[in-house]
Amino acid sequence: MISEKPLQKFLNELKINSGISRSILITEDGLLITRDDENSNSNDLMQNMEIGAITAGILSMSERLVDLLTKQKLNQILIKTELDSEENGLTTIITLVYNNIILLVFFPSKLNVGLILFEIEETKQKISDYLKNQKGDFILNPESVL
Amino acid sequence: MMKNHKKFNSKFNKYNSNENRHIALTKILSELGNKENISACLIIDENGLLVSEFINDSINKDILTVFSSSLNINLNKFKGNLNLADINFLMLNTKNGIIFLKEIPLKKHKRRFLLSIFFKKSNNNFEKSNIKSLKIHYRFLEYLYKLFRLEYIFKDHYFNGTYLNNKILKEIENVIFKIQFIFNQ
Repeated sequence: MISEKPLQKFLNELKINSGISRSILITEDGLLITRDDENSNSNDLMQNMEIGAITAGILSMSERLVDLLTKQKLNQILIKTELDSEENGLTTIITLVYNNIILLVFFPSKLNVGLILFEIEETKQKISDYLKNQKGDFILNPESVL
Repeated sequence: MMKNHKKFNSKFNKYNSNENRHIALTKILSELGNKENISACLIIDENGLLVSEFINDSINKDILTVFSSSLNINLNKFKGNLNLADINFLMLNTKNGIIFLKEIPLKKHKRRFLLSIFFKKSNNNFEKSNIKSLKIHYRFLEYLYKLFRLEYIFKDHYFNGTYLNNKILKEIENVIFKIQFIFNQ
């Protein structure tokens, strides 16, 4: 039986360990699976759904590009924005976690990418181990879809 | 045994709290940096990305990161060809600074990080604090030269100063142990 709680716990651990600002788990189609505790109010939920949809678009475009160039599978996308300076900049990392599940991580650009990538790799391992060991239907919140 | 366990826990409690790894690593590096008057101290991952940093001087951390990482990658490439065993550490000694590289194996994650430390000799305590002992060594060697008519190779070795004292090496070992503890818990 797969439930949302353990997945949310993994995202919360990622947040505590690395100091990221937000993390979301979505499907390849852009549908929301779960998110960390702190962005769980209704406004954030709408924003997360929007982010999910946009990410799905980015993913499909990037996959086509990678396929065109190298015929290999896409693993990770890094988007870096810098507003005024590095202090206000935000970096996004999109990682394929397990089959068609995608992890989205947002963090301030001043944080070191090496540490965040290490934490993401650890979380990816935890999530894929958990999903491999579970059988049956997903039990998720009404707003979450898989 | 129980006492030792408690002592260990209390010693590492500050790195084992709910605070994130980013803060804990910064704390460890700044502790080492401030204690030993180090100019820069970086932890770099296998891909040459920065994991944590402590910069005490106007040093370009990106250049030091790329330099340390590429050096380590090339060293590991040729290690096999030269039939060398595992490298303990790598030290580049120049007239005004020392770059010290040491790998940090993380057995649990089957990965390796790289610790890169840059000492600037002009503001370094270890050079000054050991100048006395160096002088004594030097005088003793001079005496040996005269006594046994030894060649100048010893003199050059000490004069150019491939000398990093045991205290700093122990401190670095200690830092590596703390970093491993943070990532393996």
